[in-house]
Amino acid sequence: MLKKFLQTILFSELGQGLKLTFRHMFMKKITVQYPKEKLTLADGYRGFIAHRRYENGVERCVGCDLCEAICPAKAIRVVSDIHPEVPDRRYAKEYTLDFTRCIFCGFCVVACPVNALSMTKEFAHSSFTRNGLIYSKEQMLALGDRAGDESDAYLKVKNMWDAEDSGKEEGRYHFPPITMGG
Amino acid sequence: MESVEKEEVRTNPGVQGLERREITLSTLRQAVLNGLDSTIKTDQFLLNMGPQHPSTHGVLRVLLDLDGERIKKAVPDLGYLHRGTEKIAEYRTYNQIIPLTDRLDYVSAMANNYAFVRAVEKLLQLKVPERGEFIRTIVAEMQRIVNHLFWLGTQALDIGAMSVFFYTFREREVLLDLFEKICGARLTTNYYRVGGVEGDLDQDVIDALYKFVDSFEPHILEYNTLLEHNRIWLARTKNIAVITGEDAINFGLSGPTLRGSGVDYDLRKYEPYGAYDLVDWSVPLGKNGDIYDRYWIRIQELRQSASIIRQCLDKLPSGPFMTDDHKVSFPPKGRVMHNMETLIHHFLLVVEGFKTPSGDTYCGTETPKGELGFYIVSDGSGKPYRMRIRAPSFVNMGAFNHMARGYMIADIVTIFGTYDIVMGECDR
Repeated sequence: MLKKFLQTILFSELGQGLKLTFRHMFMKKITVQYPKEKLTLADGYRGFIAHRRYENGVERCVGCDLCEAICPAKAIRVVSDIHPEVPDRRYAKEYTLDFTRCIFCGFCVVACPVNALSMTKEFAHSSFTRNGLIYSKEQMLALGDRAGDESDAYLKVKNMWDAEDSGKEEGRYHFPPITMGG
Repeated sequence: MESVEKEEVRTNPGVQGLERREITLSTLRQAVLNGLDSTIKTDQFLLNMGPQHPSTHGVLRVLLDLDGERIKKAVPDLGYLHRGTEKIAEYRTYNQIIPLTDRLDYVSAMANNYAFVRAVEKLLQLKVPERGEFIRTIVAEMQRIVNHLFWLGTQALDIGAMSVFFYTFREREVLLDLFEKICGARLTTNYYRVGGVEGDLDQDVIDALYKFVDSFEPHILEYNTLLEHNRIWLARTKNIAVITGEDAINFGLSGPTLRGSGVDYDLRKYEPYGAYDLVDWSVPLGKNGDIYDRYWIRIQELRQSASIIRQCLDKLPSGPFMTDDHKVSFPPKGRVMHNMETLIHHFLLVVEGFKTPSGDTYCGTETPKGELGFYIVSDGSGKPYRMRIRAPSFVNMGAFNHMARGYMIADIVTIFGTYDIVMGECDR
């Protein structure tokens, strides 16, 4: 009883709280000063979506529209056509990904039957105009070139790499990476 | 007549807790409520709170009818964050709806994923592999910890204790980083799939989880040092927003808001799913049904969740984490690229989605905020004919007038907070 009375008039619980806060001044700081230091992102990080190429530099996309079909936000628009140089191959004549609508769910990568899409670790894009965030295929290919191994690592983490591991080009016989002019 | 009531008590496990604890309104509050209709004549004063008020947890607008500083009537005005999730869902395949559910209760996306995926699995009568169930339970409990830490920080911040907010967000950050490793995003997770989960738990994630769970108890003690006996915290939470167990049941409350009134009702316990019946844990219950009890329950749930995670990690079986029923799950990419039949099936699965048997189902899941239920009517196609979301925040708001009446205007912020309300889920 007396103890409780003393605790009340001495503000002991407030004192303990202040002690705890004071102790934290000497602890290791966990705040990250963002633009100067950056966190390492996990390999499966779902950042901006990029187009990938085959090892010989030919773009993978065959314009099958599956990414457009599965996109929950209807952010993707694909217009496919017969390849002008290789008549038995289709490609995406126009490919538009509206990053103002994209919700970065990663379903387009799951849907792609040729591993033409992957997600990168890029997350900090901004633009003064709305058009600046509507990406064409060329911009997305450039994103993929810049990402390099990141896009491969994403597919590996998400268990979509097993087909690539078969190694040989003829392994992918349904969507052969036809060389230009050959 | 009496026998009928007893029968009801026996069949409903939730009501049993009531008999032990007789909860009455505090006499002070009763006096205040009587005094509201007193003889002192004041002008009617209507105060608009929100939708741009920082402590209304989003865009909630409340019309307050005041008598001096006392609240005579509080009318919540919902719908400012209505995004038509239920209607959009009618035009999306079941897989496409999973990322939409992330955005319902945006501080506990995993729990929403889980609730939706369970409803679809009930419709399909699909069985999930054991490892999948364990991973789901672990991740759902991680999400519960994240949500309760977020709640604790913001609730304390609303009342004026700022440092708790920093400490809870420090631990929340650890778990969100783990989410990033597991699924690639911190908040909009999109991790659960119908028939399992998207990816496996790696060994480094498991090690990090063990480390987190082991070091969690001292952190809880830290928050308690700042709050549990703090006289300001006690004055702002004790005997505020009291609701009796009977009223709580009648208003359809769920989650910690219901259990704070001493009603022993937790879907994880009474309709066990996932791996909850394979681990040892208990449901914390309050006594007085005030804000302090609901705070105490959430603190206890942090401990219970940590214990569930540890037991699940110990028992984590090996095996597949996703169902091998490829009528539902996407076939592996390697087969898609090398096998024509698989490729055709993959195309159909993407474009049309998997077919569900026609019929309707309701499935409730205990999310951190309460019972999140999905009612799905299926016409046999790959998209729901109608999807209705029973959002706990929305139902809990129904009791708002009842719980706020008679208290001071300064308490209204605390009363919002005690529901753990998130408007994304409330307005859907």
